[in-house]
Amino acid sequence: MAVKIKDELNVVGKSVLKVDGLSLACGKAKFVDDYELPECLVCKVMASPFAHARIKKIDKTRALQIPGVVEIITHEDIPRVPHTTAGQGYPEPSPYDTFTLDNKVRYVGDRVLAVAAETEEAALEALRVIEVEYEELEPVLSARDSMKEGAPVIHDEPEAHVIIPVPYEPERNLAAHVDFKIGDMEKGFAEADVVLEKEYETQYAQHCPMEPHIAATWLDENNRLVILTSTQVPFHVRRIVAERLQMPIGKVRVIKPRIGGGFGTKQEVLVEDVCAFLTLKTKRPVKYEMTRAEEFISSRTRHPQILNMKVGAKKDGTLTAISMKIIMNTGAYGSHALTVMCNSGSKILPMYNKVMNVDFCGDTVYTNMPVGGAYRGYGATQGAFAMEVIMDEIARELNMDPVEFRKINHIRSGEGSPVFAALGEGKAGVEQKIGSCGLDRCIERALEEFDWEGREERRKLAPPGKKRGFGMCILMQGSSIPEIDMGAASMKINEDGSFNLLVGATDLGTGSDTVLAQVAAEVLGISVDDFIVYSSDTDMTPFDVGAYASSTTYLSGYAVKNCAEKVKMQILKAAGDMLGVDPYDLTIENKKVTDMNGNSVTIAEVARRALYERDQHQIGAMASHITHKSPPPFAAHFVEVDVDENTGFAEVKKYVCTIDCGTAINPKLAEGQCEGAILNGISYALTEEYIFNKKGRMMNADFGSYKIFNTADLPEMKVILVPTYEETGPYGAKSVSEININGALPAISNAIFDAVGVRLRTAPFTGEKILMGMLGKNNGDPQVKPEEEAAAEEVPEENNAAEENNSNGNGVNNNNKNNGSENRKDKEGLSGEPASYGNYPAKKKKKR
Amino acid sequence: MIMSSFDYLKPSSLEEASKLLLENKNSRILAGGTDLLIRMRGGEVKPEKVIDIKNIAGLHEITWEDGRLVLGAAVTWTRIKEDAKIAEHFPALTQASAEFGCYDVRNRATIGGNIANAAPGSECGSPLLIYNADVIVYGPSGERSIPIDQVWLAPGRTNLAEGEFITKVSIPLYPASTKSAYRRISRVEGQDLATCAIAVMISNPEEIAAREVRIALSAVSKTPMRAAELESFLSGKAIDGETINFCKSWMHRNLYPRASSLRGTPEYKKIVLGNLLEDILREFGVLAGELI
Repeated sequence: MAVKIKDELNVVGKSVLKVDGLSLACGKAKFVDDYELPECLVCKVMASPFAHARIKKIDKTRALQIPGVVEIITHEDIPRVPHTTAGQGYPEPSPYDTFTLDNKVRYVGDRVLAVAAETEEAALEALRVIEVEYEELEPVLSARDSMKEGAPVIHDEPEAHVIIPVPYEPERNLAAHVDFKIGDMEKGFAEADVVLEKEYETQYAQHCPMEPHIAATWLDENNRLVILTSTQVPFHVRRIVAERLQMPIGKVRVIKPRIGGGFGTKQEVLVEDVCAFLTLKTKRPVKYEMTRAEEFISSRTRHPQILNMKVGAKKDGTLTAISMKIIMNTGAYGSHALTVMCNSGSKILPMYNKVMNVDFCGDTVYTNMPVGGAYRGYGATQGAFAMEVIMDEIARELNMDPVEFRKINHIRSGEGSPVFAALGEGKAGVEQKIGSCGLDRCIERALEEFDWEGREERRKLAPPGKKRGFGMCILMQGSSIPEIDMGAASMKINEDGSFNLLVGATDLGTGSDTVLAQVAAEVLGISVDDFIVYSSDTDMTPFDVGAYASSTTYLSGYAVKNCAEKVKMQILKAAGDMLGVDPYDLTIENKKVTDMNGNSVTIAEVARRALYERDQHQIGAMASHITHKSPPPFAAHFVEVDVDENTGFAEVKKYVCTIDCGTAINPKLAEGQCEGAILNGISYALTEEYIFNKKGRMMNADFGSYKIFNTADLPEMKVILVPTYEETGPYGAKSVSEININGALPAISNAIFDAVGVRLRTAPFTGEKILMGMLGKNNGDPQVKPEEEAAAEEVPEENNAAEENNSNGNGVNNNNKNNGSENRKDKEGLSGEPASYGNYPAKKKKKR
Repeated sequence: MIMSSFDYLKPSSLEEASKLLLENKNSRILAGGTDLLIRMRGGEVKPEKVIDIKNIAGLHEITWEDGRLVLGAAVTWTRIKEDAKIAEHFPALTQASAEFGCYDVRNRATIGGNIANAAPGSECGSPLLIYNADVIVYGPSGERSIPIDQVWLAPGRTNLAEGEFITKVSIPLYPASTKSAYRRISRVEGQDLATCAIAVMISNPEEIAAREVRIALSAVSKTPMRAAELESFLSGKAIDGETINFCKSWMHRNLYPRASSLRGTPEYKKIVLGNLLEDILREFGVLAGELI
């Protein structure tokens, strides 16, 4: 039966209210911690105080005597199963280098052991008195140190391995490697009139979801393990936990209730396994909620990267060659080690697809530092920073308007890029031609809204003591992982014409329950209120890889559409019987089915007949979807910044974002996603960073000292949806959730340069870095204090740990790198010619 | 969650509060609670008794008497921020109140608590120093007054004796021609402690010879401090580019901010304070000629 394409949409494209909005606003929505479990134990985990150490001995005797302490598990008590915490498609591209508990700790914050107790007090007291004897090992506290010959080996255990054929050399601290070359680089650079080579560096950051990681586990009446958890990936949790516990998958049930945000950090299995082990040992419910400090130190972060870019261009603005070399720090474990690094290329390089000479080389290395993971943007954030700043630099070299320069070079509808096929996610990518692309219109619309032409006039209006600057960038991302990810939905009718819509897709505050109901409602000619949406429960809802890779609307949305189409056919057939007409001659709209003569039956009547009266059967269906494309959404970001000449502070005054996400199923929710991502990006660009001491301990693991922007910091922000129609998406939809976090770093850096002539290639762009740059000082390098001044001042507001910090933030992170405007070409292993192996320093060949 | 258990006491008189403080060695005064409760939650302090002083008459009052402004210890920062008369007479204090915490913190946090907390970067520090405020405390030997520059000893430590607690802050009024201002920087607008801060007061700005300049700095030493040497250098003198350059180099030579601060390096703080001082003096209209 041919599906009639409707001219007018009734539900899709409308900003209907969120299906869970009222319960959330009234505080009635239930999150993991809101579930009262009888006899529930509290789990607390001991974190390693050392960056690198072997555990020699653990003495639990004293702790077990504490009243209320029920169980303590160490590496000696549970099976040693190598796995990855990354909830990705199976087989995962991330190395199997993690153990629920191990005899070695690999970063400050690594798990040592877990306690289950009747009360939190007892559990914490147990952690206090358990004696652990460590043998300290030399730590590796920077990506470059990790690559040096003779560097301490972080994963020296024989079990660490990869389960797909990709480069992996833990004996050299190499967690992942990818390279490819297209065309002739030498020729490309020779043809250029201008060649620039610059190095960029991005920093650690945390997702900071309102709700931390939390899970509760118990055994049901049939001795099956139930896991109630705040996760983006319930089905991956089920598989990974079953594997770790060496249980059949069928013995595990994972339930996802309402979730207080994830942004990628809940694409990881970080709390469920310890909880489950403790439940199996004690036969009692166990709950484990991470503290905010644990979120910062022991959960997941954005992978820091060092990006070396070399770009050639002709005087007319044509790009001739692009070389991108990345060193990515994955911390102590290789979660998303390969794929985040690949995305820094695959979501960035295709933008400039006219270049026929492209070289990409990425090394992800282990260090004894916090662990990277999936974080909104997923490598594209880091890549866009380097690419969109060097494009600004080269446009200036060529005396071209950065907008005009981009117009010459950016990808357009109907075009492809060799990079799509070259870079996949753990296997070769999927070749694709761009279908919908509204980038031209995005740029035009942004120029108009931002008044780019009038910027020189506005520059003069800067208040006294401030310098005003303007910057821009263009962006693309993807929508789901082609030929890897799958989404599914099921639906059944009830006798009043309402439907249960069951999706494995995971609404974690994103609004996907609403968006998916809109898709289904559109197909069936009913309203969102007619759906009871349920997500997700591995016992009830069909499989879905989960909420990541900007996939839910595009991929799971299509599965819902497929499912609704099937249900629609069943309804039409039953209605045809009732009306005595051919189902092909029926239309379904306004909750009823109507024939050519205007005779109609309501969907509720159809349901009652099917369930009670004649030819009884359950109208319902299940359907799934997989894609062969990952159509990119496109965006243009324009930003106006005022830099304070007294303090160096850059204040974003105006931020314009135009975004082509195909059809916005729910425009309000889409705009909300954009605004959230932009503020998230601005906060990362201007203030967020991890500060470490010399021993690799994070010194600012609390919201008092790790600042994130809130509503008081919101600039004037304008988001404009620029609709296109993506033929492979449900009702023309593409993704919108990640792309807009990527613009703030480059656009603000470009604007600061425009304002005060300081080129910031190391984030974040603090007032200090900018002011030091303005003064021509070795900017950003914190001064090492004289010894006698060390204890001059203490600040009681800071957590006690901060007082141990004598390193002045001059520890191991990238917060202290030069970001001046001189070209740093002579960095080890990063000079023009590729090193012998990836980005590693040139040295004698080693067999691979 | 506060893990330690404690008794909550709410005395209704100064005498009773002081007695409770004396009798219970491990006790803490509760006013707004925006510092205390956080530390109790973090397990940094575990008082057995928490003595709430908000039930004591007179501690919530803002009064103008005998040429002085008197703020009760339990006056919140929101009330300070919104008081037009305070803004007229003590603009530096009003400017500090606008930077203080965030809306909800200002609604709870009190002036007395901010003084008692003795933070090197406390918002009240520099303004109260330039205005020569007196802190009135009550204790076993009755009421006494401590000049503000003698209240703080070190981070988290005050000059209060056992059984004493802050009841009022008393600030003298200045002639209408007096100018004063407060500037601070922080990493975000939303809510952050000061990276560093400066308050400046200048009396008789029009008559150079009779000018008195007062300067106080926060978050650059163990306690908020007066820059006495700078003050005598600037007082009674025409201020020009050279003078400003001297002030800036004085900052470099004489300030020793804690190098382990997570908010800014010593060098940065010194440069910014110099720039902010210049900015304030320019705004006061006392800066003669163009700067070099």
